[in-house]
Amino acid sequence: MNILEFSLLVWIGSFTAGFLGALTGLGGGVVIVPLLTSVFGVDIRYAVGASLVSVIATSCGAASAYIKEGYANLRIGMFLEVATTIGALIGAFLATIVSVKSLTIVLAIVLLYSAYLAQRTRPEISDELPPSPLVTQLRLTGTCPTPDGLMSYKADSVPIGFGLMGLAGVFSGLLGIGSGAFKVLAMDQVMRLPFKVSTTTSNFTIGVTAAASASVYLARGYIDPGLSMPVMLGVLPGAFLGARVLVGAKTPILRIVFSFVLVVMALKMVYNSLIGGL
Amino acid sequence: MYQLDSENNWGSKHLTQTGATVIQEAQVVALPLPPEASEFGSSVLEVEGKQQVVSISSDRSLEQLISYLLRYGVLLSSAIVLTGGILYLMRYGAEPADYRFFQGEPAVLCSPDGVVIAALSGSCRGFIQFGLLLLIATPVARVVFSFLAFLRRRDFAYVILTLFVLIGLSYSFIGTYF
Repeated sequence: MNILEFSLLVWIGSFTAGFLGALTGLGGGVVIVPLLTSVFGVDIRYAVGASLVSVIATSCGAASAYIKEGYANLRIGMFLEVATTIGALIGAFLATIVSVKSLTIVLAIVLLYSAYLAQRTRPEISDELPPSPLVTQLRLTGTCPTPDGLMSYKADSVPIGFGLMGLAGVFSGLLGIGSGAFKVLAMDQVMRLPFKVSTTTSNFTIGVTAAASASVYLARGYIDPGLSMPVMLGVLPGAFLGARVLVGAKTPILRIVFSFVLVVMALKMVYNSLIGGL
Repeated sequence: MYQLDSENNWGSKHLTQTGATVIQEAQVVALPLPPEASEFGSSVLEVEGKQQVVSISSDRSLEQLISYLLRYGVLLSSAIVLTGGILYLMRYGAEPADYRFFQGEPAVLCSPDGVVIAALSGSCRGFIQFGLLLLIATPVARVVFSFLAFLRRRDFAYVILTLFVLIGLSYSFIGTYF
């Protein structure tokens, strides 16, 4: 296979990755890494570098649309970025101590559990309880478009959500993956934000989380221009398309897609840790 | 006219008289004052409401700016990557693709200043890498921009939050290269 054919195939795969990544809030890396390593036989380090590029491209491309449409919540996103940043720094420190392999199994179980949690339907209307002082102070509220018009919402259980976001950062610092799943879970299940707000706000923040580890990847030579070029150029139109589809999509279908991607991701991680991959 | 004037005078006198009676009435009927007070209160509420509307609309304009920043950042960087990519495929498109074994990148493509040098020297791989650096810089620029926007609006809680994220980002960058 020459470089031209390889680039075209990677471009098509990346388009799918960008589409799914934008739709689920998980970022393009969920699809890119297994695609490059299993299908194209790319070394895991190059794949992780290209995945980082794809996550940032998905995040920026989709988030620009999600902000404009009024789904992604900037304040909630920026508030939670603090937790992920602290977590990522702790994770990078822990990476020298903890065995990554045993941790992968734990993460896979958590992913399966969150896939299950995401299927539990709950009413998307915030209850009558008044917002906590922290929510009022930081204005962690908003409105999002629904078929029945604008719906207002507020963040619940902010400290727990913040802690879970910190954990998301630890995992992304340790393994370079899995932060998107935790972010959606924290916002959807704990802070009780509408599902579309959770996935789009996750999309908005994963770019910064990825950028935090970008310099490390660049310095180690993981980011190959020849490989990252078709990945980025494929992911971006995929993300734009995904953002368009999300606006019209029904939430239960989005939840099913989200859970499906999580289950595949978890099985892949178990398989890898048994075979000896990442 | 004279009559009219006198009438006017009389009228004014009458008015003051009625004015006095009004005052008297007002003094007598002290109870209607609370509605007036509540009217004042509601106007204060209205002002607060307006302030909220203003802050929401300025939130909205900040969102618009950030949305544009992300969109044009990602489009600019992908235009550069596309240009470099076309040159790269024209030059090396027929060569076999091999990413099975990790060799790492040449040192010049592993640091921001090296990438700029490589891009300026006309290397198409360096050009792509420069576009990728711009892409990575886009979310960072978004954090810097929101920090400045919150600083300008004296929204200090978010100034501190965004500053914290910036410190985290710089810490990881400095830890890698210095």
